[in-house]
Amino acid sequence: MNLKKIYKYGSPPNFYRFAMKLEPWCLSLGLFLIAIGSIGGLFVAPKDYQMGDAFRIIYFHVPSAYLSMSAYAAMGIASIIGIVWRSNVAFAVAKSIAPFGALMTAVALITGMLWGKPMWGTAWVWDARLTSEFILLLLYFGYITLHATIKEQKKADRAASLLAILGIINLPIIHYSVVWWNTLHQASTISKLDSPSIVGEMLWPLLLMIIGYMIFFIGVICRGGSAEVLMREKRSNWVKEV
Amino acid sequence: MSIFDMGDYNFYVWSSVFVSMLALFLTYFDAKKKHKDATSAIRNMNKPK
Amino acid sequence: MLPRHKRLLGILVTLIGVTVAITLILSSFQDNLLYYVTPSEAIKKIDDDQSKFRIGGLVEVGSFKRKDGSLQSRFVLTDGIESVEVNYIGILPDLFREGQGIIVTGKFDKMKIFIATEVLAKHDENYMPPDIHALKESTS
Repeated sequence: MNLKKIYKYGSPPNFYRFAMKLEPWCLSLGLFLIAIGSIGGLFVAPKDYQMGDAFRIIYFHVPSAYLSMSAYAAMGIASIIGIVWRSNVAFAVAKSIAPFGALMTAVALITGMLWGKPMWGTAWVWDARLTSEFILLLLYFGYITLHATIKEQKKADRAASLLAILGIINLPIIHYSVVWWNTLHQASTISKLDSPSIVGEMLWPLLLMIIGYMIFFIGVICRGGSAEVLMREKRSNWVKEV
Repeated sequence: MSIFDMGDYNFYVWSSVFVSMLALFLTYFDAKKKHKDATSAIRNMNKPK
Repeated sequence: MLPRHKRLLGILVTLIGVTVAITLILSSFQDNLLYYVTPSEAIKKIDDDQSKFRIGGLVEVGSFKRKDGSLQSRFVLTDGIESVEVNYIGILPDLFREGQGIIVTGKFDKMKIFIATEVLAKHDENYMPPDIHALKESTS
């Protein structure tokens, strides 16, 4: 691995230029996929044999739940890079992921309640899956609070990153909670890639939604991360040009 | 169209659509606002005095 | 060893340590983390002095009875080995049907009937339109 190259591309001005170029593409492609996926999920996909139309909530619940976890993984990895390589850009990216991840977690919980109420007969239970996803929300809040309350930037970065890194352990717990323990929540439908437990005409809108959310997420982080980099670098020369 | 006529499920499905879209909207405009604030702060700082 | 290698090692060691600790904690609370027990496990503690607990199983086909015009229903929950008779007064979730996975909260009365105060429907991870479901049923 050529470290010099990595340092060069990970430098703030390069990151900034790259992110700002990438952002509009991600946003438009992401929103396009989400639009197609929504139409497919709401209007084209057939009703479920048991849940009827209520099953369509899957097209909004699963992508947000998926992103709540992937965003956390990204935040954890960025935090590790930040601490190990003392990379300011990595810290900035991690910090800009937190509000997005927290919002996605909240959406996953809310859409889950809206789905659970008519189908399970309850909006909330403290089973292993719901509880561990709730802990994910608390981890995001903890990260955001640490950044908000510690004034000195370097200390805040280190404390919040440490929390983010330790919280990574929660991700496999969320994922396997439905396997390890009896839960009210059902097992995953599409993590078994060889034979997803859903028919093709219901699956494609779901995949489009997930990919669309992912690309949209990258776009948002390009914008939010750039903003954070600018604030951190406001005294350096390259910033004056933008 | 049948999708607007899901009986009891209308509320649940369309609320979840609304919440999801609102969140996507909010998260993007939050990032955009932060970016705007940052650039305007830097412009103020570099104003010739 | 470069300082950044030390930091990386530090993170890895901490992560492994905390993972081990959490694994130990979770495995010692295994019983509390289970949201429900099966009918076979429930039968074993039928004579114990009980607080409320949850049983999860399938509604036995042909066992569901409900008086017309009342909310009182009776059905049998089974895991294929043992079964429990359940009595419940209240509104059943939309997914409730015979053969469906159901979780009931409550306790046994003196007649060894489980008096449920809450009935939840558990959904599986399979999704398909009605025609494909009918096709699958007929071929199996």
